[in-house]
Amino acid sequence: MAVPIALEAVHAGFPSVAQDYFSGDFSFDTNVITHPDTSFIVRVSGTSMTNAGIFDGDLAIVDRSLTPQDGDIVIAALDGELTVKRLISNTSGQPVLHAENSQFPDIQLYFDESVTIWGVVIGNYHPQCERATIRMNA
Amino acid sequence: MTSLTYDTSNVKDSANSPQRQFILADADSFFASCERVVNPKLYRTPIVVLSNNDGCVVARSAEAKKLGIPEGIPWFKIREEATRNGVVACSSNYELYASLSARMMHIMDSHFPHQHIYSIDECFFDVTGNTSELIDRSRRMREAVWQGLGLPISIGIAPTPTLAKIVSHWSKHYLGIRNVISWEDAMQRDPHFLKHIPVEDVWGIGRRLAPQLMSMNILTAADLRDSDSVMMRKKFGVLIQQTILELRGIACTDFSKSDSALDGKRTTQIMCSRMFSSPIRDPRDLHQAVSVYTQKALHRLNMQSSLCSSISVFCSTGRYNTSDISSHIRGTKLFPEPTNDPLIITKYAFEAIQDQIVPGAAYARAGVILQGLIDKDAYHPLDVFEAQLDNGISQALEAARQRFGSYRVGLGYGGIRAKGRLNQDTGAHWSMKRSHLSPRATTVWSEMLTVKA
Repeated sequence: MAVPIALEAVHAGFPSVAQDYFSGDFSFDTNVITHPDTSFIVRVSGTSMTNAGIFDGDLAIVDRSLTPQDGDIVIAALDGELTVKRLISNTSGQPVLHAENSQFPDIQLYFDESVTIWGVVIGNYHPQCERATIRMNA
Repeated sequence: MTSLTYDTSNVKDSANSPQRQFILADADSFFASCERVVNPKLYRTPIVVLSNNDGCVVARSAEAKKLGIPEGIPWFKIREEATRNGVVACSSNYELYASLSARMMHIMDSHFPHQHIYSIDECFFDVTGNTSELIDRSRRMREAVWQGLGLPISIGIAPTPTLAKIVSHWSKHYLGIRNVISWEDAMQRDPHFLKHIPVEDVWGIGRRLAPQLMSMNILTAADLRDSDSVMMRKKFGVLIQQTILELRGIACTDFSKSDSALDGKRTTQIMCSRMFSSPIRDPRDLHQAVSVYTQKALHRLNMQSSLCSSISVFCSTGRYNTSDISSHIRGTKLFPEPTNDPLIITKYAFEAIQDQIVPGAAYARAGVILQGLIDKDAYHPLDVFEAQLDNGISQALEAARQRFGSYRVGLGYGGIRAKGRLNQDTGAHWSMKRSHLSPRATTVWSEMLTVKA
């Protein structure tokens, strides 16, 4: 049988009731990242995805265990460079890497091209207060 | 010849009826594959990974092996030709490899019970099942690791760990198949394939024992299997008898006795040793190096909640020592009680060699070994001989390390850190030279991957 050990000396007066209920704060990480073994945090550089709410300097959470589906925002390895775009099929059913910014062209994917889908973006963190972002950029 | 009886007795009906099997999963060219995860430019490029100080080739991608680059060759000897052939050299990025290894092992652990992590890139599972079902599940595990991390693994399934190693090795090197292969598969492809496996490639034999076996005309895995196991035991000890029995399909490996599985916990010793990038002549610099290595080892000791009973420290002038003074010193200090107290341990560490340092010698490497490890929880000292339990210093150091990164704090000379990526170890001039280092994309915040939008 487990015998509870007093964690603090109890003085006269009301003891702290909260002590029995406190087992630590929830973690942002563990609630947002559902597959930690296959998830990667990456930094976004560029403006081609701004209409999807992903901005230059944002952090993106990438889960590689998810199989990419039409409409997902993905990280693709395109000629050896990692790039973030939306994966869609065009009118003729061909897969396309679509930029969410009209100033950037879509990228047609052909079978002979060296493209791999590296992972699926499950969310991004966009800092809103510069005073608070010092550690993030460290 | 008895070989056929052994072989058929093992494979009888095993595809349909459940039986004990061992699954070996090992990553293909693990270090090189890790480099590809963080740098997709290298997908089809021949890669070599260099040892500490960018000295020798310690790992090669399949493409680099095809070019005939041997393992262990000093990089400077092949640099020109290799570069002409498009070979890319990477400094060893152990922090990245350790992180991806932990993730890989964890993914695999969810696919089968009884995982035994054997090294950074391979693990065994001790399972019961029929082979066709195990093959299906192994394929799913392989796919999960490939999709989830981008790491390719090969899998061998056999009645013993030794045979699992052999089928996996044979499949890779002789068939060129990097996938899932079972003992039955291998036997169907070539019932005599053990005759093609050189005896030195058998798990546990190695280069030391192989010449002696070959002088007895035991040249292949099949020869070893058919040798007299009792006579071999008398000549070479019990381990070789176990290997022989394993080749015959009788499992003898007891994983519970070796270093523990899941957490990579060391049960005998923890070692940390490095070659310096430039030789050390000043005893104060040597003191600093020993302090740093001691604290690296202590970090691992604390990670696994152990105490240690003694410390050995060694320093030596290198093989390519140009001065005429050569010195190989080693000293051991026994602690009054098993301890994890960094103050006591770092103090003893330098004392262990202090008196033996040869003035003027150019030391090329140093290392520390923590020995006599015991579980912190398992240690019940008599009241009068209490363990030298650290009174919070190691937790404080650990917390600071978590908060500010390694090498920002430390004891004695161990905490010095300079700015700049390449001197990241400590910033001291003797720390490792690693000029082709990839980002530590999963463990260092400032080195995360960048994606182009």
